[in-house]
Amino acid sequence: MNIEQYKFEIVLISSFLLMIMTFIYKSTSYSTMKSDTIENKIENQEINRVIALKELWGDKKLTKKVNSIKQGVSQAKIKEFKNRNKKLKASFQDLSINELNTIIKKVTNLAISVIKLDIKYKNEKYRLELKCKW
Amino acid sequence: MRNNSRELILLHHDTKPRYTDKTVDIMLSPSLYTLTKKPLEIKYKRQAKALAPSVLDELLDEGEYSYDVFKDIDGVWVFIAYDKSKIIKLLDKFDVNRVYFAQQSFELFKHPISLNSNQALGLVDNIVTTIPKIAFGEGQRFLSFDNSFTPNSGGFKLSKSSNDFIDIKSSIILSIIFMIFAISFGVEGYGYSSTISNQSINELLEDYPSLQSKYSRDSILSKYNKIDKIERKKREFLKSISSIVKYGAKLQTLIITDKAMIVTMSIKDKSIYSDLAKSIKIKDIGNGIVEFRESI
Repeated sequence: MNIEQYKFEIVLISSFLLMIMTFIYKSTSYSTMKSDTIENKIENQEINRVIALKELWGDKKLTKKVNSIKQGVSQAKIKEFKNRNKKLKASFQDLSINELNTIIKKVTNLAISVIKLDIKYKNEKYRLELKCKW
Repeated sequence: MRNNSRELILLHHDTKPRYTDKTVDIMLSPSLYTLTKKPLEIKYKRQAKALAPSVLDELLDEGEYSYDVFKDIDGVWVFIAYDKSKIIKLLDKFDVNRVYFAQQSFELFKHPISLNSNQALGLVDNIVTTIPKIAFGEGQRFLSFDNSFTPNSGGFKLSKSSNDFIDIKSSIILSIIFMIFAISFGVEGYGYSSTISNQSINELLEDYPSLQSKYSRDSILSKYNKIDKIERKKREFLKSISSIVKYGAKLQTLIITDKAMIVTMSIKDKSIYSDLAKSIKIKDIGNGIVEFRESI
């Protein structure tokens, strides 16, 4: 077969095939870009969530912040307050309802795990036992 | 005539031309085409070309023909039909530039041109015709054929392809169009593949190198997710208690452990209890005390 004889047809078919191949390349690149963008977005959200959770529940300043729980409560009402090794053991007595509310509010505003919270009402006063860790 | 240094070969149906590896022009003898002249009132060549099949129809045998038209010096349209495949067969292996018809240089055939030992080309009614040499008188001189017979214009490019599905011009135009599309698709595709960027993720991971590995991220996420879920539940519980207290209930006991959250409250007014029971699942344990319990 004399290839020279079909040179124009060969050029035409080659350019057509090239067009088809580049079209496939374009389509593949587009779908890859789409899926990669979605994957990146999901990964980005996941990392941001990890960072947010870590910053909230793994806050290194919590040990200091936890001491604020006893602030505003008279020493006589603090039966026990041990803040050690990222753990808190506290016990309060003779608390008024307002003092109790203040303490509970402070506890709930801190990113600490409440292991035990025990409140008892006796003789118009409240007794509170608290165990936390972070 | 055209000043042409390219060799012009006279092609006759029963004579194989001498092979040359150079590019040549071809002049077809009347044995390779059918011709008729018609003085039609047609202005444009393409109109005449469109009419050619019907004009030549009666003169042609069965077969596939290509057509060409031109005006002779009297302004009369000359219609020509030729069998391209027959010409291609004779020109196998030749590199052909352009193919002309002998009729295009008819005035040069006033003096007969020798074709072979028996035949010559001459003019009959201003039409180039194959004539037996015997028809000429004895002593008739025959001129030889050379490049000076190359016409100034006309003729056709010979595509040696086996079919006429697409001509050279169209194939070049289509190839260019396909190439333009190919380039634009390529550029677009490259654009898409280069826009895939992890820039924002990389910036985040630069600040938090410990989160580089997916494994460590998953581990941190599962640890803190669990804490977050449980602790939020406890805080929600405490929040709901304060809303109950607003109804006029008095907190008696509250215990939160790692398994359950239980609260007991005293309610003096029975109507408060029925109001509460509509919105919260509470249990009356007697003596005006209600219990509200939730598991973790």
